Amino acid sequence: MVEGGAEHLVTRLLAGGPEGDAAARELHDLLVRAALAHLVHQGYSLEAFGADDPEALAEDFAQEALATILRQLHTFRGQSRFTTWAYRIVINLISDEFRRRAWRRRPLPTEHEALPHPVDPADDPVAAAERDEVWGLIARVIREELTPRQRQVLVGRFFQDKPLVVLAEELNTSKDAVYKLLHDARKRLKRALLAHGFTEAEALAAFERR
Amino acid sequence: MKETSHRVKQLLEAIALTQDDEIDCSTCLDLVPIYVDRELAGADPARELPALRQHLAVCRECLEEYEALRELARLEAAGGLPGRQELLRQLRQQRPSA
Repeated sequence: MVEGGAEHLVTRLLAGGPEGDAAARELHDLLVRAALAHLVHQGYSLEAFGADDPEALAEDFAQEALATILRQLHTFRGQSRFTTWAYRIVINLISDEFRRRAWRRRPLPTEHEALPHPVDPADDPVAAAERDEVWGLIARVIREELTPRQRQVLVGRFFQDKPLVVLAEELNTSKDAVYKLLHDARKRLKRALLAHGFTEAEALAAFERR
Repeated sequence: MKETSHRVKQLLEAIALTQDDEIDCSTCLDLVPIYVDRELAGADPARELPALRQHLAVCRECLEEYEALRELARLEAAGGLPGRQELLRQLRQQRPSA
């Protein structure tokens, strides 16, 4: 499964010494190219990162990714190409930094806790009544049954478009912990819908009819 | 109003996809290289790794990163990433001010 060259790179990295140092330099160069390729394919502007030198920006991300990869090298099991395994780290670093900065650049903060009312008075009355019922239930569960942290991440995620990394920083926790809060909130909402006789498909259909 | 309805629909879609047990983003990050390489090899990773597929369906950040990784892995499998100078040239070309 592992390609020849990259497999050799892992062996040399694990061996350490001068050969390991040379392998780390080769991996660093690969990571710089991966960072540049990711910037190209996502169409990210340098300004989005507060940078004006693309090579220096890619070097910085590659250096950070290399440190993470070397720390995690012992966990590589050869179930994928080594390059695929390594590139995910640099993509993750760049993507989260882009999201962090994009969130900070938003023109108006939307920190209100109020939930929207998604029913348009111009809607068909029957469809509007169904939407009202589904939304009324969801809004009540969000307000009354979720914990404050579950409510904060759910509202932030779905109604304020906050990235996980931003929510994690706000709550001084990890992205995995935020994901767990969201998961628990979704489970609670799902149970509430079912308890009130709505399947998920029926609840969704109410918002697809006009 | 349409925007609000769209957001509520996204929430309802996420609720519909919710499972009792789900993997977190770190586990997704660990498994996604396997998923990508299996996919590029013509296998059916969604069937082999259903928990990862489910995570990608409810986590837009992980989905974005999976798609980006698939693109880089595709380039790598096709002969390797372009060279540094070529990528810098492409990056300059797509900059609006360049």
